[in-house]
Amino acid sequence: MNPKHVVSKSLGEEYYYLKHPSGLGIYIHPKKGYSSNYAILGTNFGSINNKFRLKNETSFTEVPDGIAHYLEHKIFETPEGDAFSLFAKTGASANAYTSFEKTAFLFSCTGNFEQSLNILLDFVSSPYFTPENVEKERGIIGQEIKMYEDSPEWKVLINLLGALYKNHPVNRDIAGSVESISKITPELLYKCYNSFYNLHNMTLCMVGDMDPDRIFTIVDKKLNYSMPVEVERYFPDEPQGIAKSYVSQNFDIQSSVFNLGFKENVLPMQRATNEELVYTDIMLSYFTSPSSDMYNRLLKEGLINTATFASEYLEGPGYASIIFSGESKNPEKVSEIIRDYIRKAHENGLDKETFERAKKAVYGRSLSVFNSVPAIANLTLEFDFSGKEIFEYMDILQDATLEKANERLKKELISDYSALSVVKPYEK
Amino acid sequence: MNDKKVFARKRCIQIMCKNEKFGINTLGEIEDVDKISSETAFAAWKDLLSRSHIEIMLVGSGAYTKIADEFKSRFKNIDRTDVFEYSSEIFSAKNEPEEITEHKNIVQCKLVLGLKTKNKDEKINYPAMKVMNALLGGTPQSKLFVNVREKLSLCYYCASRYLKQKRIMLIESGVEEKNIIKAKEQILEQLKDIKLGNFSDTDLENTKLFITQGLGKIGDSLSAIGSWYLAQSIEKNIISPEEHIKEISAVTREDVIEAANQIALDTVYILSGKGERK
Repeated sequence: MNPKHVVSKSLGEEYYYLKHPSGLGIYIHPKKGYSSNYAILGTNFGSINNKFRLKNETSFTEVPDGIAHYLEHKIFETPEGDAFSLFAKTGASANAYTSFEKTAFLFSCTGNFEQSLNILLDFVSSPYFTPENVEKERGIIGQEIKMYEDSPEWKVLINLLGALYKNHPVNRDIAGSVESISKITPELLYKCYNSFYNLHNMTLCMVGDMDPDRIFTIVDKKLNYSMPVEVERYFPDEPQGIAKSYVSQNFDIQSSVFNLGFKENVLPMQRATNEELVYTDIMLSYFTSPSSDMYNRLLKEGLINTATFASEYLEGPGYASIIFSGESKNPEKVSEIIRDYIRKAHENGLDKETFERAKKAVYGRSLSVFNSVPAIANLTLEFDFSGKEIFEYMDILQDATLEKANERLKKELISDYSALSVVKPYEK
Repeated sequence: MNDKKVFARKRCIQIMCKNEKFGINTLGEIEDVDKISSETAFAAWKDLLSRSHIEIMLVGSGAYTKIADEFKSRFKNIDRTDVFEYSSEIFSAKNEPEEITEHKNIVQCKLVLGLKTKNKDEKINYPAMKVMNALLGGTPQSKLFVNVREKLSLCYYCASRYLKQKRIMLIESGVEEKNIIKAKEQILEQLKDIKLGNFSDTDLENTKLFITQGLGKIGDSLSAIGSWYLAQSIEKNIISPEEHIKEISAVTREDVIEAANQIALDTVYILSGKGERK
C-alpha cells in the first residue's frame, strides 16, 4: 500500500488517498488535536439512477422511484439486528442519507473509532433483506414521505425541478411516493445492491486525529478483492429548454414560499468542474450576500426576510441549476427583481468591487470548512464523486478573475431557462 | 407556522403553559406587533440595555483583553445598577392530563405529548433526567425509536426532549390518523417501563456512552462551545462539558428510575389532518 500524500501549503492541510486493490477509494484527512473522528462511506447511487444495466445484460432494468432511499434504510438491517444497536456498544452517533446522486453511511465518535469503522464496513457490505424486514420498512418510509408532503420548503423545490427538467429523473422526489415504494421487493433491492454497492463504485472518507498507516492497515484487512462491476446508467435526453416557467401549489400555511431556478445547459452525466463551481459560488455571494444590492433592495421592499432568503447550486450528473429561495408575500415580484438584476449584469458586466468582496467572502467561508471534522469528510466525498480535488478549488478561488466570472454568468444565469415555483396559502 | 412539526410543538407548549410566561410566543402575536411604535420600541431597547442580563462571548483565537476593553468603553455610559433578577417559573403537572385536537389540511398527523414535573418543589437530578430522556427517546437505540418506529412501524420519527430550565419534557411523533391512539399508548408504555426499571444495564451504559461521546465533541467546534456556555449563562454554577461527562457517568439505574417517576403527562396535543380548506 502506498497512499498518495496531498498537501496544501497555503492551507496547512493534508490528506492521504489510496485506491485500494479491492476497488474502494479511501481518504484519510488527519486533524491533530481534535477530539472527534468521523467516517463516511458513500456509493455513487442516488434517486436519479432509476434505469441501468450491467455490462453482460442486453436490456435496461427500470426500478421504482425511491428505491435508492429504501435501500439505504434496509442496509441498516443485519442478521444480528439493527446496525444502530451495534453502534450502541461503541457510543458512536450513526446516520445515513440518500440524495439525488449518492447514498452515504456515516458515524462520528470520540472513542472506539476502529471498532465503529469495522461495524460500518461490515453492515454496508453485508445486505440482509427478507420479505418481512422489507415489508416492515414500508410503514416507516411511508410516514417519512408523508412528512415531506407536508413540507412547503421541500414541495416547492420538487415542483421547481419538475418545471425545469422535462425528462431528467432529478424531477422526481428522492424518496418516491407511497405508490412507487409499494412495488419494492427484496429481489429489486438485491438487484440495486449488486449493481451499485460494489467497492469500485464506493468511497470511504475519514477525518480526525488518527494515524493514517494504522487505519489503512485496518481497512486493508477488512476488504477483499472484488471484480469491478460495470454499470451503464441510462438517462433520457434533456433539452436546454424548460418544461414550464411557473408552477404553484396551495398548502395550509401562513406565508408563501418560492424557489426561482435557472437551468444550466449540461451534457448527460456531466459534472461541474472546480472552476465552474468556484465562479458559481462567487456569483451566488455576489447577488445574495447581506451586503449585496439585490438582497438589500428585496429586504427594504419587504419582499424577503433575513431568516429564510437563500441561494444554492443544485448540481449532479447531467443537471445543474442555481436556485434562489425564501418566504415572500409576493414571490412574482421577487422573481421580477432578481431577473432584472441579472439582466443588468449581463448588459453591464459584474461590478469589480462587489466581485472582489464576494470572492473574499467565499474564500473565508470555504476556509472555515477545514475547522470542522464532519464538513471536511462530507466535502471530500462530494468532491470525489464529482471528479474534483479539494485543494485545487481553493487555489482557483484565490486566482479568480472578474473576466471569467462574467463568462460564467452568461452560461448559467439565463432568464429564458428559468422557472418560478410557489407554494402558497389557500385563498381566504 | 409553515413547518407543522414546529407548529405542533409550539402549540403544545402554549397549551401546556397557557398562564405562564413560557407560554408566550417568542415572536409575540400579530395583533401586538401592530401596536408597537418607534417610541415604545426605542424605550424597550433602552430598558434592555440597562436592565437585562447580557452575555458577550468570544470563542476562538483573538485579542481577548483588547476586545473586552472595547466593549467596556463603548457601554460605559449605560446605567447597569438595576439589572433584572430572574428565575425560571416551575409548575407541577395537572392531576388529569388535558387532550386537545386541532385541525389543518395536512397529510400527516402530529402528536405531541407534554410532560411536566410532578411536584415543582421536588429537587431534580438533572444528569439523571438527561440520561432518562436519552434512554426513552433521545437516540436511535432509545425505547421510542426501537419500539414505536422499528418494531411497530408506526412512524418515521418519535423522539423526546427535556427542557432543563423549565423542567418539561416533549415527546413528538408524526403518525397516521388511525394510529394516533396506538402511538400514544405505546409511548406511555415505554415511559412506564423505565419507571418500573424495565431496561437493561447494557442499555443504560450504552446510553451514557452515547451522551458522553456527544459532549466530547463540543470542544472541536467554536459554535458548539459558544452554545454550551450560552445555554448555561443563567445558571448559578457553570460547568464545562468535561465536568458534565463526569456527572453523566455517575448516574445510576436508581437515579434514572427516580427521574422517570418525577415527571407526569400534562398535555396531549394532536394536529389532525382533517382540516377544511380555508
